[in-house]
Amino acid sequence: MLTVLFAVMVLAGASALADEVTLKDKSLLVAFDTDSGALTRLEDKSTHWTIERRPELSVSFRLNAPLSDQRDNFVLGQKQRAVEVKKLSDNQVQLQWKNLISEHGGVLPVTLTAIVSLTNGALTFDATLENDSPRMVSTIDFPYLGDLNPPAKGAPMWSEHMWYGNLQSGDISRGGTVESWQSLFCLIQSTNEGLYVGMHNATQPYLLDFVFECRGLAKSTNNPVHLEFRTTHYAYVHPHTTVRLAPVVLRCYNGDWHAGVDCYKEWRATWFKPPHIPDWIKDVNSWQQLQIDSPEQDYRVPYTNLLAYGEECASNGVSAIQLVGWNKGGQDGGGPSDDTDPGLGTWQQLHDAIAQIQAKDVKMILFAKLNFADLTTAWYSNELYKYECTDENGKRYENGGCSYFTPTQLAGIGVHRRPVMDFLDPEYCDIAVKEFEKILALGAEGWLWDEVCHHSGVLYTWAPHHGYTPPGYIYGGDMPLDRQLWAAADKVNPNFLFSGEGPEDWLMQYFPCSYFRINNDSKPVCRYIDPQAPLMVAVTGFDDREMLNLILMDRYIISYEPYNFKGRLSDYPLTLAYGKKIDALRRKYKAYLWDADFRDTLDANVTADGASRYSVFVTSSGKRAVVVINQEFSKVITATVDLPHPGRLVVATPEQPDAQPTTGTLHISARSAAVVMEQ
Amino acid sequence: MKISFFSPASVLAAPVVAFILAMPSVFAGEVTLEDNQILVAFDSDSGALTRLEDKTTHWIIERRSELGVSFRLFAPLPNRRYNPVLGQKQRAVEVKKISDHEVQLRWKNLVSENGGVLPMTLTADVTLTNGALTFGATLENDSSLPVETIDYPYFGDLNPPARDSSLEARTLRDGKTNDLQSDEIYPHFRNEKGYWGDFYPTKTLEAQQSLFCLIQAPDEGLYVEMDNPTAAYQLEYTFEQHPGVISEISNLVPQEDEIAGTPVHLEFRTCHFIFAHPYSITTLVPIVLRCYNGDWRAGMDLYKQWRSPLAQ
Repeated sequence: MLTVLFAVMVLAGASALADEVTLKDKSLLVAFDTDSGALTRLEDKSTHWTIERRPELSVSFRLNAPLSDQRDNFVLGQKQRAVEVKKLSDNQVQLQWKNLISEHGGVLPVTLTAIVSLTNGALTFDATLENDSPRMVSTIDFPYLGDLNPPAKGAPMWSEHMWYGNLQSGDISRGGTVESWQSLFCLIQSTNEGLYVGMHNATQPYLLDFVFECRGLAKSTNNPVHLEFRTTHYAYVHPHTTVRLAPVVLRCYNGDWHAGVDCYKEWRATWFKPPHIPDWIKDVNSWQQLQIDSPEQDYRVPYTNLLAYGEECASNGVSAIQLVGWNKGGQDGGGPSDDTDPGLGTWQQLHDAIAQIQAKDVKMILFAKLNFADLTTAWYSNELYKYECTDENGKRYENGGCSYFTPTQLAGIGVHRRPVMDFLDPEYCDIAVKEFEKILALGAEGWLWDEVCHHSGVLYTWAPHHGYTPPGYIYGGDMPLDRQLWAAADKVNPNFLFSGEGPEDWLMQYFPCSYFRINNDSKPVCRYIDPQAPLMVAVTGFDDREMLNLILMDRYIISYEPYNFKGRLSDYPLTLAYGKKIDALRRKYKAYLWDADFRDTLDANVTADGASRYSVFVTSSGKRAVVVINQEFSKVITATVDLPHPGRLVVATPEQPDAQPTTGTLHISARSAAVVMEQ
Repeated sequence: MKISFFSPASVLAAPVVAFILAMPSVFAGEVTLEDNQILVAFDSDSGALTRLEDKTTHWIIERRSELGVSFRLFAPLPNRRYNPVLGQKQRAVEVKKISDHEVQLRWKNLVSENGGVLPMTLTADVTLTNGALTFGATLENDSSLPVETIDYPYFGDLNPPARDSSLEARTLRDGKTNDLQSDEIYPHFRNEKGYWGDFYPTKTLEAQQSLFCLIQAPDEGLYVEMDNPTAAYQLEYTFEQHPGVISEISNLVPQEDEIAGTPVHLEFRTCHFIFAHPYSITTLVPIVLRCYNGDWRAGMDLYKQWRSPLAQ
C-alpha cells in the first residue's frame, strides 16, 4: 500500500509542469513557477523523496512591513507576480519581485531579488531586499516551502538542531521553530534520510528562524492540511536601505543525523578558526566545580580555606577547580562585577590562594558572567542602567534571576533580577573588559563564562544612544566582545583558558572548552563535530557510574560536583573512585580513547540484551575501539560488537584495565563499561 | 552503627520486618503521644520529632531518632541574609506532656548561625485526637530581626513503608479537585529546583494550590493538611533527599541507610512564609497529619471530611 502511495506521489510531481523553471543535478530537482516565482517542487532524486509536492500550495516568499498603526502588514507572495524568473545558467535561477502589494499598506516600493544556485546537490538561496519605502521591513520569509512532505505518507519527520552541547530533537507535526541563535542549521530528519537547512553566515548578522507551521483543514479540498516550512530572516531592513540576506542552503542526505551534521561540518571547515588552547587541557584531565557563595550571603568557603580544596584535588589527580561565587555578590549576585567579596576575604587572600593551588598543578578557573547586571546594586542604579537592553517601548528586559538556598529564594521571593546588558554598546563592552581584566589580575589560569550561550530571551534591543541604529541583534555583539577579551588575555597570559557554559558552535572559536550537562539520551553532536574539543560534563550522583560511563563513551572531561558543586571530592568517594578508574583507562589507552577520531555509533554495530549504548573511535593508524556501556542497574548484559573486517580484538574495562583477548562478545557488569580495541 | 536493609528482591517482607525490629517501643528521654492509630515521639532535650508510626499498618514514617529535627527558621541580618536557626543546635526549654493527647514544646533564645543568640520563643502544641495529629505553633519574635520562614513540623527521616515500596507526593494542581498531580519521591527523586541553588535534590509543592499533600504509598498514605483555607501567608510542602541520588541519570535513591558513610534520608517539612516583623507575635497555621489505608481516594476522603463544613 505504501509503495502505491509513494508511486502516486512521485508521479504527481515527476514531469515538468508547464510554466516552470527548473534546476536539477543528479541529487536534486527544484522548480519555480514562472508567474509567481513560487517554489513548486523539490525532489531528492537519489531517493525520490518529493519534499515539496503540490504546486497549488507553493509560496514564493512573505515579508512584514509594519505600519505605524498596524504591526501586521504582510506582503504575501501568493498575491505577487514575479517580474523575473530567469534561468541564468544550468545551475542558477534569478527571481525578482517588485512593487509589492501589502495587505494593509498598499503598494510598497520594495524589490526582492533572489538567486537560487544548485551546485553538487547544494541548493543555495541568496536574496537581496531593496527597501525604497518609508517602512521598516522587519522579517522576510524566504525560501518558503508551502507543502513540506515526508519521504512517504505517514513516515515520521522531526527537527534536529544544536543546543547546549547536544543535538535536540523537536516534534514538527504540529509546527515548531528552531532559532539560529542556538544552531546554524536545522535538520529535517526522517527515518533514513533528511534535509539539511543551513544559515550559511556564521557571523550572527541577524536572527533566522527555521519555522514549521501546520496549516489547512482536514476536510477541506481548497485548503487541505499541509505543513509549511520557511526560514524567517529578522533582517529589520530600514527604510531606503538595501540588505543582502544570509544565504540559506538546502541539502538532502541519506542516513541519520550524523549524515546531516556532515553537511554542516563540510561548510564549517570553510570558516571555523580553532583557537589556541593550553597543553594541559589537551591531555586527559578532570575538574572539580566548587561554589563558595551566593546572593544569600552564605560565605561558606572563605578564600583562606580554598587551599584545602586544592590539596584534595592535587592528591586525587584532579587538574582544575572551577571556582564559583568568588566574586562580589556571589553566584548570580553583584553582576557583572569581578571584584572580590569582603565577606569571603581580601583580594590578596584570593590571589594567594590561587597561586598556592596552582603551584600544586591544579589550575584555577574563575567562573564569571558579563551578560547581566544585578538590579539590586547601586552600580546598576547609578551607571549600568545606561547599557541595558530595552524593547520597542523603551522598557527594560529582565532575567528573573536564580534562586539560592533559603526557602524564600527557592520560592522565587527576593531573587536578584537581572537586566540584560547590551553587547552592541561599545561603552558597555569596555566595562565588561575591565571586569574581565580583574580575573586576569588574580592570576587564574582560565575562566568559565557561565550562561555565555544566551541573553535570556532577548534577541533585539531598541535601546537608543548605544552606538548603532536600533534595533540591534544582541547575539551579533558576542564575538566582537570575545575578541576584545582575548586581546586582553593575550597581553597577560597567552595560555589563559577560555571556557564557557554550552557555547554555540561559532562561539567555540572563542570558548574552546565547553561545559554542559547531559542525560542518557543526549546526542553528542559537539563531540562528533570536533573529536578533540575539550568538552566537560557534570557528575553529581553519589555513585554516578551511569554518568561516568557516558563520559567515557563520548570522551568528555569529568567535572566532579558533589552536593551540586558545593561539596568536597571526599563527599562522594564512590563516584570519585570510578571516575579515577575511567581516567586511568583513558590514559592507558589514550590513542584509542582520547586522541582518536570519534564516530559515535557509525562504523560498528553493537547488539545487547539490556540497556546499553556504544561509541566508536578510530585511531590515527586506523585501528578502531568500541566503548560499550551497560546502563542496567543490576543486570549483567551480553553485548556483541560487530566491526566490519575486524583485526585481533582485545577488551579492557575500568575495573580490569589490562586488555584481554575477546571475540567481540562481552559480558558487561551492571553499571559498567567495556572497551573493545582492534590490535 | 551502619544498618543495611538491602535485601534480595525475592525476600519482599524482610525490609518491613527489619524496619519494625529496628524500633524499640519507647526511648529514654522521649515524650510520646499515642492512640490506637498513631504514635509520635519527641526528644525531651531537643524537642525533635524522633518517631512517627502508623500503628495500624506498622508503617514507621519517621524512623531514625538521630535524624530527628525540631524546626528551622531564617532570620536575615541587615548585612547578611543567610542566617538560619537550626533546630539541631537548640535545646528545648520545655517538652511537656500536657495531657494524654497533648505535648507542649518550647524553644527560647535561639542560637542563629551568623547572628548570635536571638530573643525569640517558639512554642508548639502538638495534639493527637482520633488519629489526627495537629501541630500548632506560635513565634514570639522579640528581636530586631525579621523572621521570614519557619519550617515546622520537620521530619528528618521520612520513610516509605518498606524499602521496596514507593512514595509519591500528590497535590491538587491549581486547587482543582479533579486534577491530582503526582511527584515521585521514592525510589526515584528528581531535583525540581535549580541545581545551582540547592545542595540536595529538592521538591516544593504549594499549599496555595492544594490545602493538602498526600504522601502516598501503594496501599496507604500520610495526609498533610494546612488547616486554614484563609491563611494569610504561603505554605510549602518541602521534600529534600539527602545526600542525593545514586546517579543523575537514573535519579534512583540509594537503597541503604548510608552511602559511603553518609546517611541516606528524606526530609519532609512544611515551610511557613510568615515574614514576622521584629517585636511581633505570629501564630502559625496548624498542620494536621493523618494516616490512612488505601490509595489517593482514601486521602482525598480526609480532605473531603474537613472540607465539608466549609462548604456549608
